[in-house]
Amino acid sequence: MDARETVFAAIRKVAPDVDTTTLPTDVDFREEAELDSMDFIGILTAVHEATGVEVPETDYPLITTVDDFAGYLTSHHAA
Amino acid sequence: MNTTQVEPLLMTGREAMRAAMTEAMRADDRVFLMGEDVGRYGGCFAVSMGMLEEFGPERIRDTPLSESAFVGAGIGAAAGGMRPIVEIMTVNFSLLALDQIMNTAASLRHMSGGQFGVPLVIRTTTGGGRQLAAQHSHSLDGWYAHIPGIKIVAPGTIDDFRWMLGPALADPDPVIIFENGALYGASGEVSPTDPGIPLERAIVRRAGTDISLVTFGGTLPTCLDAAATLAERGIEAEVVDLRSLRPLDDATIMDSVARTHRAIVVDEGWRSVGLSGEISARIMEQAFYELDAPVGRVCTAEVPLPYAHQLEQAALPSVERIVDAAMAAMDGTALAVAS
Amino acid sequence: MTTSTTTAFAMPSLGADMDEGRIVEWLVAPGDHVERGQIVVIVQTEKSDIEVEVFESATVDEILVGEGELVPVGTPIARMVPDHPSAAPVEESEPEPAAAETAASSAPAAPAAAAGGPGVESEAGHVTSPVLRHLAEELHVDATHLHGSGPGGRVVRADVERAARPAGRRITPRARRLMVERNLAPERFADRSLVTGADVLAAPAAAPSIEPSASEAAPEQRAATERTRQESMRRHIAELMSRSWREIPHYHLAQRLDLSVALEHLGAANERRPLADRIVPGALLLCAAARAARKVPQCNGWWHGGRFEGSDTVDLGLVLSLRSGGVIVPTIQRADELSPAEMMERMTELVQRARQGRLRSSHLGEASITVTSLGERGADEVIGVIHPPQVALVGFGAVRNEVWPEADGTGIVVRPTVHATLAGDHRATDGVVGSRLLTQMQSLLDGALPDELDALAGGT
Repeated sequence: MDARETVFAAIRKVAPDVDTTTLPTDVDFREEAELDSMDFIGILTAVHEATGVEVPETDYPLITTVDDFAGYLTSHHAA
Repeated sequence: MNTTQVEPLLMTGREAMRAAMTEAMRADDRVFLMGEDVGRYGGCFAVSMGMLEEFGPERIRDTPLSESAFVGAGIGAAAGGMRPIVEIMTVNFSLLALDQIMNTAASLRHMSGGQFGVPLVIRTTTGGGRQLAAQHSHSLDGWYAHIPGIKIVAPGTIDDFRWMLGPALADPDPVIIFENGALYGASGEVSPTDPGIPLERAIVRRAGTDISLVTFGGTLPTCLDAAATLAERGIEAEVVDLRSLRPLDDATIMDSVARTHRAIVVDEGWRSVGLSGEISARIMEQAFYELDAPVGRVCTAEVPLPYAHQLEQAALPSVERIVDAAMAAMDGTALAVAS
Repeated sequence: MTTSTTTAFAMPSLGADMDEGRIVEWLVAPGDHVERGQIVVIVQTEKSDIEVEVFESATVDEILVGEGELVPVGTPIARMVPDHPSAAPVEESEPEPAAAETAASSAPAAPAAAAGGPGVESEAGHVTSPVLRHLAEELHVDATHLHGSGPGGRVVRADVERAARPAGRRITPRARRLMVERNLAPERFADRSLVTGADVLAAPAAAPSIEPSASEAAPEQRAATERTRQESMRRHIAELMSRSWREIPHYHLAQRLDLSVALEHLGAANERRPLADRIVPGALLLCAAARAARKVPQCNGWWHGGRFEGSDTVDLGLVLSLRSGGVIVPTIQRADELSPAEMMERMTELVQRARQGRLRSSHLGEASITVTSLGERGADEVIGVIHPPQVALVGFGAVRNEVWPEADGTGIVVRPTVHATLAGDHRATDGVVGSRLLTQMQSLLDGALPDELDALAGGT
C-alpha cells in the first residue's frame, strides 16, 4: 500500500474529523491537524498494525511531515 | 334592612366601627358601650361620636379613670346577662385591667365549671407610629393571645372594622378586638351586608406564589405595599391576614406556605418571645417539609418605642425591612437581625 | 503556664467535636524564633490537616510531642519562650488581616487555647470593636450570636464576614423530601450552594445516559446526540465557571518545572516498552499533580458549609477538550496511587471514551482537585478557574524548551520546561500552602517519578 495513504488512514482513524484529502504533506501534520501526544501514539499504533514498523521515540523528529513519515515507512519497511 | 343596591360603601375605620356598634345596639338591648370619654367626648378617637345622642347615658356610659374598675364592671354585667362593649382607650392602659381580664374574664367559665361565662367584648386601640412615645405605643396583641379562655382578633381592613364586631358580640366568651389606631382614619371599601366571615378565619388578601407574608392589623397595609415592591423585582408575595390571633387559623397559614414554600411573619410586637415566634414554630411543626427557607420575622425593634418621628419609624416594621427579609428568604436564609 | 520563662503550647481544639489531634509535621525546631501568626505545626484532625499558628512571638524551646503522635486536645506539644512574657498581649478585636485570614482559612473554629501568655479574659462572642459592630450591622449579622475565632473566643472580622455569607451547600427540607420521593441523590446537586424544591423538580428524574442506548444508532443520530450532550456539558461548565468566579476568592501561583530528569527517564522507559504502552509526558504531569495533592492535602477537597472538607482520596478531575469542540471533565479516582503506566492507561481510556461519547457515570464522579492542561501546542501558561466546590486547580502549559541558569550560576542551559500553575481558593489555603503543592511537583518529577519509571518493566 502506498505509504502516504497508510499515514492518512492512520490519521483518519484517530481523528476522523481531519480531511486528509486537503492535508498538506510538507508541513508538521501534528500542528496542522491539531493532534496531541495521545493522538500521535494512536497514529503510530495504527501504522504499526498496518506495516509492522514501530517508530522509536528518538525517531519522532524524522516523521514530522506526512512526506517524511511516508519516506520513513518506505525505508524501514524495506529494511 | 333592605338593600337593593349591592355596591360597596367607602368608609373610614372609625365610621365602620361606629356603624357596627350602632347596628348592634339598635338590634339588641343588652348591648351597651362603656369606657373613658366614650359619651360626651364622642370617644378619644371619635369612634362613638354621636352615639350618646342616639342611645342616651344608660347605654353609652362614661366611666371613671380606672380600667380595673370598669373592666370589672363590664365582666360583672356580662356575667349577669348583658352584652357590654368595654372600650379601653388604648392597650397601654389595659395593663391596669390585666388582672380582671386574665383572672376573671378569661377564667370564670373554667373556674365555675361551665356554670356561667363572660360574653364580654373589649375594644382597645393598639399600635405605634403616631409619636405617642414609649408608654402609649405598645402592641400587646401577642401577649394577650397567650391567655387561654379569651379570643383575640385584629381587624386589618375597614371591612373587618365593620363586620367583626357582630360575631364578637355573639360569642359567649370574652373577645378582645385590637384596633390599630392608624386605621381609624384610613378609608376602605365595606360590604353593605355582613359577608359572614367566621371570626377565627385568616384570609389571603393578595395571592402569590413565591413567599407568604403573614401579618395582621396595622402591618397589613405595609405588607401589601411590600408585596407591590417585591412584584417589581419579580417576586410574587402572598399576603395572609390572620384576623384572629387567638385562635390562629393554622389551616390557612399552612395552605399558603404549602404553595409558596417560604414565609415571613410581620408583627408590630417585639420579636422576642412573641406572636411571630409562635407562628414560626407552628409553620415549622406543620409545614417543615414544604419549606425552602427558614421562616423570617420582621418585628418592632426591641426598644421602648421612641418619640422622635424618624426613630419611631425606624423601629417599626417597614416596607424596606419586609422586602429585605423576603429577599433573604428567596436566597434561602433568614436575616439574623436583633430586631 | 509553667515556668516563669516558658509557656506551654498545647494541642489546640480545631473544631467543636475534636478530641485529639495528630502531629503531622513540625515546621519549626528548638531555637527557632517565631512571629505571632506564624504557622508552626501541622495537625491532622479527622476532617483534614490544619496549620496551627502561634499567637505571640516567641522562641521555640522544646518540642514535646513528635510527628506522627496522637494526643488529646490541651496536651502541651511544645514549650515556647515568649518575647514579652510579662505583658498580657493586648489583642485587638481586629487582628491584622493576614493573621485573621490564616486563622479563618486554616481553622474555622481556631484554637481556643493558643500559645498565649496569661489568659486573655474576653466575653466570647461579643463584638468589642466599633468597626466590627458597624460591619456586623451593615452585613445584617446579629452580633450577639457570633462565634469568635480570635484569641480567647474574641470575635474577629472573619467571623463577622463568615456569618454574613450564606453557608455552603444547603438543602432545604422540601428539597430533601422531594429527593427521597424522586430517588435522586444529593450529589446530583453538588454544584449548587442552595438546593430548593424547585431545583429538585427541575432535575431529570433519571441520570442522563452517557452510554449510547443502541450501538446501531445511525451516525448522524449519534453525532446529534453527541452534540446535544456536549452543548449541555458546555452549558454546565459555563455555569460552573461563572459561579466559580463569583463565589471563590482565587489566588494564582505559577512555577516553571524542569522536566529534563523526568523526560530522560521517561524516554528510557519508553524505549523498553512496546509502542502501545508508551507513556506520554502528560501522564507524568498528572501523576505529579495527584501525588502533590496527596502531600498538600489542604488543596485536595471541597469547600462546604463554610469550611474545608478534605477528601480521603485524590480523585483527579481532568479537563479534556474534545476534538469536536466540547469540553468534558472526567475523574481519575485515586490518581495518586497510580503508576505512570497505569495513569497512561487511564488517560487513554478516558480520552477514547470521551471522544466516543461513552464515558461511564463512574468516570464523571466528584473530583477532589482538577487539572487542566493546554497540550503541546497551547500557551505557555494557563491561569485557571477552580471548579467549585473544589478548592484548587492545577494548570499545565505546553512543554517547551526554555532557558535555565546553570546550577553554579556560570551560564545557561536549555531544558524541557512546563509552566505549572495553581489556582487556589483563598478561603481554604493561602500562597504558602499553594506554593508547596507546586514545589512538591518539581521534587516528584526529579525523584519519585523517575525512580518509578526506572522500575517499570518493559510493557505494563
